[in-house]
Amino acid sequence: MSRRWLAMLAVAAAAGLGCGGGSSTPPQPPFELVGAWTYLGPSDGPHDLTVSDGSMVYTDVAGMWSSRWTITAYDNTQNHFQVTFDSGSGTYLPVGQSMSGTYDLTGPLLTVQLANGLAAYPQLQSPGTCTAETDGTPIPECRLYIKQN
Amino acid sequence: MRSTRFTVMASLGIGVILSAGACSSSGPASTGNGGTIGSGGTVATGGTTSSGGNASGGTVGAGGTVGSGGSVGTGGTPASGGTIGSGGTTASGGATGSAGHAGHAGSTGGTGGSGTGSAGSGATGSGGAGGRGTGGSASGGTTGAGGASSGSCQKGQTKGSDVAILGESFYAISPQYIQNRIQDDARKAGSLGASDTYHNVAVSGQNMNYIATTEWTAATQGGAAPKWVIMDGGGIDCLSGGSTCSTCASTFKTLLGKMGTAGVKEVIYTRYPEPGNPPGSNTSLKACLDSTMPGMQTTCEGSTSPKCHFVDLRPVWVNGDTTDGLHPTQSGGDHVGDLIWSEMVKECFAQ
Repeated sequence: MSRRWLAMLAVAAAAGLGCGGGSSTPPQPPFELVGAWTYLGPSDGPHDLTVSDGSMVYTDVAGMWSSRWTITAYDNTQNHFQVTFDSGSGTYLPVGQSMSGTYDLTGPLLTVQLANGLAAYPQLQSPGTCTAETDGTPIPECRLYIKQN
Repeated sequence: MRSTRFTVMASLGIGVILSAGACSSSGPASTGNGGTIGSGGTVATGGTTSSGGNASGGTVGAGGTVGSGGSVGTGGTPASGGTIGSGGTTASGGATGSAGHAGHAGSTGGTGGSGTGSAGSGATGSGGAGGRGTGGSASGGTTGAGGASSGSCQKGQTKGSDVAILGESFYAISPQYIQNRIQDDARKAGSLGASDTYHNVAVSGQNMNYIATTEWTAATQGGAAPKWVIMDGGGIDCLSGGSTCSTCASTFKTLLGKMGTAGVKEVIYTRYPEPGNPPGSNTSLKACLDSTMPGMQTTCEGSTSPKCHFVDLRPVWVNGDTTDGLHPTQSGGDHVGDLIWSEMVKECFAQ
């Protein structure tokens, strides 16, 4: 009885340690956008973006609106993420139930291009400016932020 | 008989009075501390009250009464450099005083002020010629004082496309409170058409190099030829890290050179307000700006073509003017816009 129990324990321990021959996924590194960001433009009102483990929160600096999103996927290599709407108050942004995002991170400057839905990631057209090169027109759903200290 | 009276008066030194007033009658629009009161003409008969003062750019002398005109006074003593004069106020014109002539700047005169005063109410007094004296000895004016100067600044000549705005989110972020306020002020003054707007090429998040290259290209694209530029720059360089922007001043100097070549007349460079909410609370950014901005000021004030005016926004930026510590609220935009507009008026900038 006791020998059989010990054998089962050994097998379980081996499996738990990854020695049982099965594959395991290394833990995902933290999302590189975690932190607080100040909006710089081009076309929305001043707001902050706060990214933490598992959530993304947009907050109007005047306190008139906010929205909270759950991060369902992210990829630091591809510069992608996906979020689903959690809650919101006031006339918040962005608007949608689920969003896919592509971003560029250059120094302290973050450019985020969002698109509705989870089917495909949007193309980032003007990293660093969010404005069209031809005439300076703001690109919809593109937002520029700078990292807060 | 007349000759005899002149001789007598001259010997008594009475004629001094008349010429002095005229020297200051147009001073406001001409220079800062213009000549001191000129020693008077020698043969004046009768003028008694042409008061005036130094051409310190401010008020205008009250009109003299019934001056029958003495001879031209001799020049005043050289004046020391003047400060920038503000526009003259309305003078109460003399009953019969004739217009004063423009006061000349002192020999070591400083920067000339621009006159904005309105015409005097004197019956026959008309405003002296305005101008921007930059030197020369103080000369005694002709007789009589009169209305205030209306200056040489012509209004209503500016198209919106003559003014370009360069910079980053301070000017670019929506709503563009600062630009809107300046335009509102300009429209009220008759210096901008009701539906006309300035050419804003500022782009959020851009450093000084981008402003000096890409934005300047955008400002002149398609044959555009701005005559006046309102701008900032260097803030993003500071936000990007570091304790100073070591290249901003030289980049700015290069940009000013391009502007001069392209025919830009004048530039207003605005120094950022104290960063943070409340103002000054973002100590790291403040330290970088405090280190970087003196170089920008030196570069700006050293430029003569285009002439560059360094406008410090810190004095007008108060609690409530920002919520995120960087960008203006409505009140912030109003305060900044009004300050910039006052500088524009003073310098006859895009009037």
